[in-house]
Amino acid sequence: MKASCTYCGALFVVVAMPTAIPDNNVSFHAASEVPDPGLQLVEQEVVSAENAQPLGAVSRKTVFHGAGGTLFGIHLINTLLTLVTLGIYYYWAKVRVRAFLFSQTEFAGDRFSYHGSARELLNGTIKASLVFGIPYFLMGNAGQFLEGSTAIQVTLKVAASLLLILFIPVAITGARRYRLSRTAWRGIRFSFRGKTLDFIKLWLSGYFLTAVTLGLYYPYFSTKKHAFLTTHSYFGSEPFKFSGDGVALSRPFLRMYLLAVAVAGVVGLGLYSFVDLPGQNIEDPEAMGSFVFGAIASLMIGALVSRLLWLPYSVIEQRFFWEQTSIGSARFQLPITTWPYLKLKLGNLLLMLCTLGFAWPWITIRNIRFITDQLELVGIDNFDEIVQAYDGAPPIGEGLDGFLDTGFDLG
Amino acid sequence: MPSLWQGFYLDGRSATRHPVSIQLTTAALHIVKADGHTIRWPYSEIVQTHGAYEGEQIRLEYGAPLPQTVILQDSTFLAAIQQISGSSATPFHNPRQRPLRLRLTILAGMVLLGMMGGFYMWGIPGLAKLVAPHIPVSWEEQLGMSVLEQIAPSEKRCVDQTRLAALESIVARLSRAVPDSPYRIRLTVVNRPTVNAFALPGGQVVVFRGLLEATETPEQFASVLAHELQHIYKQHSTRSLIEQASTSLLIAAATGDFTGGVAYGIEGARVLGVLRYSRLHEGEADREGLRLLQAVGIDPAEMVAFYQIMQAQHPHDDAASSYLSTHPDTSDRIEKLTALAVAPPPHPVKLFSLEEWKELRSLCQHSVASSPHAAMDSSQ
Repeated sequence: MKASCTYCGALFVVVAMPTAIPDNNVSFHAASEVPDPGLQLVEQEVVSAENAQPLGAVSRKTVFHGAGGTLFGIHLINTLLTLVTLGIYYYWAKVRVRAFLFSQTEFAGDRFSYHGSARELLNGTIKASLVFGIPYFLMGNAGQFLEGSTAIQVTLKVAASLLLILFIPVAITGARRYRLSRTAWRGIRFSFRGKTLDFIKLWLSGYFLTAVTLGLYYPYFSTKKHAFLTTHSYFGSEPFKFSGDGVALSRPFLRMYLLAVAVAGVVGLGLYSFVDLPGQNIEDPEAMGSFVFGAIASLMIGALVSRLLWLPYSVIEQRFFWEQTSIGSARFQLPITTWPYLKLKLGNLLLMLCTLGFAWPWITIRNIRFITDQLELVGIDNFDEIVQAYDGAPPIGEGLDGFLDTGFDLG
Repeated sequence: MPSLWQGFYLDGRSATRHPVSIQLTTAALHIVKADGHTIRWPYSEIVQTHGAYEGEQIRLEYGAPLPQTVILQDSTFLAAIQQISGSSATPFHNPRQRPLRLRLTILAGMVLLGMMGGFYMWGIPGLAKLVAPHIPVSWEEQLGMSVLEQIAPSEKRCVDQTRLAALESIVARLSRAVPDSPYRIRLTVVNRPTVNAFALPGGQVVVFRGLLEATETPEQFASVLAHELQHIYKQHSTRSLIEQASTSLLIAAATGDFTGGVAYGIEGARVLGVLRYSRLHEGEADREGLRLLQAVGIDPAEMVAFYQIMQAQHPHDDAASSYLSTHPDTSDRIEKLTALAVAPPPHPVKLFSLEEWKELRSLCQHSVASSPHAAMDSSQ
């Protein structure tokens, strides 16, 4: 594993773990700003950089410090103020929650900080409403008030749907651009520099191919999306890299896909008679009640089964995406497995149902901890060489010119 | 308490952490770097972003939009800065106020609970009651007609004109007691064995053959109609729609989220809300229906008698299960109505004789349905 000495600039390879570990979260504090005797020994093992082979690895971990009770306290105040202000405080509440979650997340001994403001979120919502929300509503409902032909009404509906399809990639890149620009670690901002138009092209072609292949293109589409979003993301001057393609995910996806088709077939056959019976008495509201109940139960069973089948794939996908992501010479690792993930999700569902949604703060923290407890960056990082690359101007409030490439968030 | 604190300084230009010593003076923070260079931050221009919670690292920022940062771990720093800087320490969190903040949070929780409870108990039904009268009757009629087509298709309707007209005369008698109502009440009898009746928004009352035949007297049938008419007059269907939407919004506001697992919680709460409000509507329809009967001179005991018939048909319904039902417990309803009925009117109205009623309630056996199959059957 190659790196350079932060003081003399000499190239070196890591050949052994130091005897002294600087802190609990950094297994091997390479390129530390504090001279370390163990590290100095390692730095002496300088070999030609061209022929260097990785012999050791530095592991930098993430830790989440926040408690559910604290988040619940924040949430109580937020809810009260949101209700009292008839919803206006929502954006301030969102910023408070984000600032708390970011400030409680530590990576390699330093915590993240959030620099967004409620005013920016509010502007983002207004901007998105003007450009997408209002035209979508007008096109979707204008047909009712127009005396025109069916063709005009259908055209308007189709245009509204197209606008919605277009809005999703714009919202994804806009939110990412905004959020990253407002996130800092060690005082250095993150950024997203991808062109929204490129992402729209990728999105539309991916959607089309996924539909044409009856979903089988999905792992390729999802990897391409992730690759685009990752490789255009920066920490200061340093870009993130992504090395994977959809081939690695195609096999687990196909396995899940075939199983889902088989289960859908069996469940469908099983439910056929059940659904058919109340259908005889559809005019009877009492029987309709049981029919509706039956239909809801079938849908819930169907949703639960699909969710259960999706979980193992989702674990593989998340792990794969992180493990293909690198920065400098260091690569992320997320060794999550299905069973603990399943336990997490079922536990969350149970908590949600039993508390009618009030366990939200604890669930949020459970989800974050599940990732932060296992996420690490392995390899020699070059954090000390990274410099600020923030363009200064906030991406909000520049009018609608170039809307596509401005960051906005809906709150 | 130390006079010098150790921490890290981030210059906002690179990701390098600089170990620094921090000194406090009465007006400013002095940050001394390893090379001896000192940076001065006036207290009034510093923003404390982290360190409000116990055990959390303290993070101070200076400058915008890309601030310089100082990070400390020693929690005694905050107490020291309060002590040294005096009145200029306002941008800093005071650790002594943490218990007060906790108490305020608990108080906010209690106020919130009270607000939400009040909104759930009275606010949502009150809001629905307030908003519903402003919904145009034509919208309700449109909604009612579309549901009627689904539930009572024309080939299933009992359309014997003579008998139907007699039943409609009972409807007319009841609706005349509410002269200022904007609704035109229309009765539909459906050829189904279920013992049920319901009201649709806009003035449609649907009665099933099973219920019609289960009534022993025309006054019992009138009591059912009075109950259903009150659902229409009180706009219960419209109010239900408003109540359902409001409950979802309330829970979403409380949980701060509309997506993922929260949706299940919201749905659960919405269903509980719907059931509660539905039972409230049933109670109101019972009470007001009974008053309507009294207004036209029908003995309210007839309503009680009909519920007793219903109870005899469903003896296993108990009070516990009623909390998970759209209708209140039948025994409870009978008890409440008996208390309301008090004394019978001196000269109770008799709508038809029992013999006539037996004839009238057999409406569906004499019906000529409008479906092609039925037409063929009748021609044979």
